[in-house]
Amino acid sequence: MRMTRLLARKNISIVRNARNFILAGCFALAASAPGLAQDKMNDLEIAHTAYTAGNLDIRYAHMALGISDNPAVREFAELMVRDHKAVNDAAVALITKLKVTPQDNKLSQALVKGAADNRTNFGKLSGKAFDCAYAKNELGYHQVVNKTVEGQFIPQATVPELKSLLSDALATFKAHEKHAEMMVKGLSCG
Amino acid sequence: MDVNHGLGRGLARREFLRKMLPAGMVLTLPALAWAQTEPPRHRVGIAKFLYVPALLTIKVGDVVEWFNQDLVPHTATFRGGGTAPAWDSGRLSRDGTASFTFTEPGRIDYYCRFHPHMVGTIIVE
Repeated sequence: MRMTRLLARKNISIVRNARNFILAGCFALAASAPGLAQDKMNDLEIAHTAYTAGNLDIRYAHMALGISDNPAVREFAELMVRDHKAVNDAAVALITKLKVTPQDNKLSQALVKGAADNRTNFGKLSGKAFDCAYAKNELGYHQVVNKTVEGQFIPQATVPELKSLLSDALATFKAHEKHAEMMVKGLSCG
Repeated sequence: MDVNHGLGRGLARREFLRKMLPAGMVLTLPALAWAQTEPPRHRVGIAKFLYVPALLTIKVGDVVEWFNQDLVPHTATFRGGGTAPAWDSGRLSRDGTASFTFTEPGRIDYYCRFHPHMVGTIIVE
């Protein structure tokens, strides 16, 4: 099976990608982050990283719902919970159907670490400072994720169902990017 | 008693139809009557964050059905106002459908409550 054969490929170096990707998670650098995955990832790694990125955004959203009183921020956060859950549910349905296990990788691990650092920083903020930090991070995060999904994950995925799922997910994430852009403008964060 | 009487009349009517009309006609007539009373239905797909078609022209009495093909939930929501109806499809998950019968002429602009940049229009003639 193609997915199983891919599991055997161990010569994948993605440390640089992880470092670049993680910059995107940092709100201070998000807007200018150049990071895209440069090296090839296999289907199972792509699935793992895409799922992880969605879950991390849900965690950011829960944090926003716990801290922010701003209606626009809360509406966006609720949207992130609802939409990323739907996308990840579809991903789970696909891996269950294919009887495969997504493969943890350095990019996923770096994303998790970076998000934990960001949450620590966000936890020190409140009011408009938090709202702006969250909003800018969401914009930067979606910009980089979209470039990565469109430019790397979709072209590199070899399983048609995964490719299709990523294409559908990309439409969702692009809508989120637009929405995040409007949120940042509306908050007048400067 | 009345019930039995009515039942007896019903049976007599069916017996009459069976004798006087070919079997095929007896079976077909109710189906034709049903088909004539069913209003035209129009389907609006929801795909990649777009309503397809975004502009739909229908007649008074027609039914529009929204069908979500996206991964994420959407709605079709009319704000109402004037003679335009207010309505919300509720959350449409993937493959979910909801329909509405338009009984008044006019223009109805609708949107997705979750993703307000998604908009569509129904023209009812």
